[in-house]
Amino acid sequence: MADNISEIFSEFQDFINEDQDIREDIRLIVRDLEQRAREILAILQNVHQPDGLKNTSSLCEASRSKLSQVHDCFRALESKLPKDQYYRFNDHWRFVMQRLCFLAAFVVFLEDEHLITRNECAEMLGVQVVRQKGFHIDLEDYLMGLLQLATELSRLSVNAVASCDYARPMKIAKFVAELDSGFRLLNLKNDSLRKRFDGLKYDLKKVEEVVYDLSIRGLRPQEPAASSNNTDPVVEQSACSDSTA
Amino acid sequence: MFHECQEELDMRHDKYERIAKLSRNVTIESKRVIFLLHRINGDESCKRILDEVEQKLDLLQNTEWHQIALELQNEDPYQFLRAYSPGLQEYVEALAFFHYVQQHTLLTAQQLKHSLTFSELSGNDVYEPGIDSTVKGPILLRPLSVYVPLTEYILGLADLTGEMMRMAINCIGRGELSKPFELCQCIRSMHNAFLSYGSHSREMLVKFSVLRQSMRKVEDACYTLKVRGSEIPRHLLADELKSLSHLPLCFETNSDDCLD
Repeated sequence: MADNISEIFSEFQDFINEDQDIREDIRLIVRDLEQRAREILAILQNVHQPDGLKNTSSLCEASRSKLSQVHDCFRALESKLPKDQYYRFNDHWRFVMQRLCFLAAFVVFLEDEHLITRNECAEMLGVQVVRQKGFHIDLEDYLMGLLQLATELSRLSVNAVASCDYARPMKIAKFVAELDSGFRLLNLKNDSLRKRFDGLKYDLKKVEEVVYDLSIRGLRPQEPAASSNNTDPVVEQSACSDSTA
Repeated sequence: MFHECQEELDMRHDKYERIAKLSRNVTIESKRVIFLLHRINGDESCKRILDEVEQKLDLLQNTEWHQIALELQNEDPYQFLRAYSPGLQEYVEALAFFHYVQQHTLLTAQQLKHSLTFSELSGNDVYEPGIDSTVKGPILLRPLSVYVPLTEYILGLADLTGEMMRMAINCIGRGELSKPFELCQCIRSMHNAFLSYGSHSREMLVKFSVLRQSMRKVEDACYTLKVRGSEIPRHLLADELKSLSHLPLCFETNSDDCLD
């Protein structure tokens, strides 16, 4: 019986060693991914400033090119994983995956105000949508990324007004409201996704307050696609004197 | 788009719940198996109880585990592991205990896997849970099994030491004075093996500390037997052990609460 025991337990020791090796490899790649995510985030932070807000297309282009660089990281990650064991190790990359989803969704919003689909997101990151096809993006990570986007957009709506872009908060309000009604269709369990979703209503409230502030001061643009020119005499001159095109 | 997300999330959560419910049943039945095994008292009851236990374990395999295996088909088992891990560890404990009582060896991972492998007829009118359409096609035999990570197996074995400890104390109460030493040796080997693993996970650390306590209790009991055994009449040995360990002994009842 003693031999039996020592054989069983030494087999487990091998298993633990192998597990630790795999996790080490994964950690290295994830660290690289996190670095790239931080770089993209830094680029996109510029939209909160007046000059950045005018140049969203160049920011988006720069972000897209950096995003395409993460494809290699994901390929490397996939190669390190034993087959069909995504969920054994996914805690390692869950955070950075959510962050990258958010960044991709942000870029897509800045480009043409639509909500990034899972397929688009997967394509931008260089991963699959469906688990069976390979290294995929988990549905909950994608949803978490969308919720992070809502928070960023509520901040953007505030800064857009400060940068004299009065149209953008309107678009953001419509977008976040649609996001909210979409999320309300989901039956969430009491997990981190649910908690984050609970925060969505505060993001929505903030954006609606911005829209309200603009409306009562008559700063609201007449058409949704209008430029930031306003014929209303109430418009403050001082803050916007540098930003006339 | 959100409708699709809702459906997918609902399916995932529902499957998780189904597996968790099945796992709870496995836990309950496994605990009953363990209680049964502790009731063995001499050769006459031994055969009868071992047969009953074997039947219970077979039933468990063919009902709950089979269902779980069907649910886990084509899924990444790690996505649902937390749903069936408690049941799995309890089942490993029960099966290993049965193995030990019957054959005096430690259940191997292969034997465990074998007990959770089913050959499935795949073909017309096969019911697959969670999917509306029935599978149509040529009839094939395919192996269907529940994925058992090695960690779960090892953790189940750690739990087994608790039962071995109870068995050792029970033996003393019944007057079987050589078994405790045998069990002590076994528990000690497992303890030494666990020492070499370091801190793999929190669950393992917790189990290891419980294992250590069980080992100490059995070692103390063996000490008492050796040193004081000849002095104390057999029927008073139990009382002696009770005063030593400051815990109620449960060889008269079969409560699972004591000696934890």
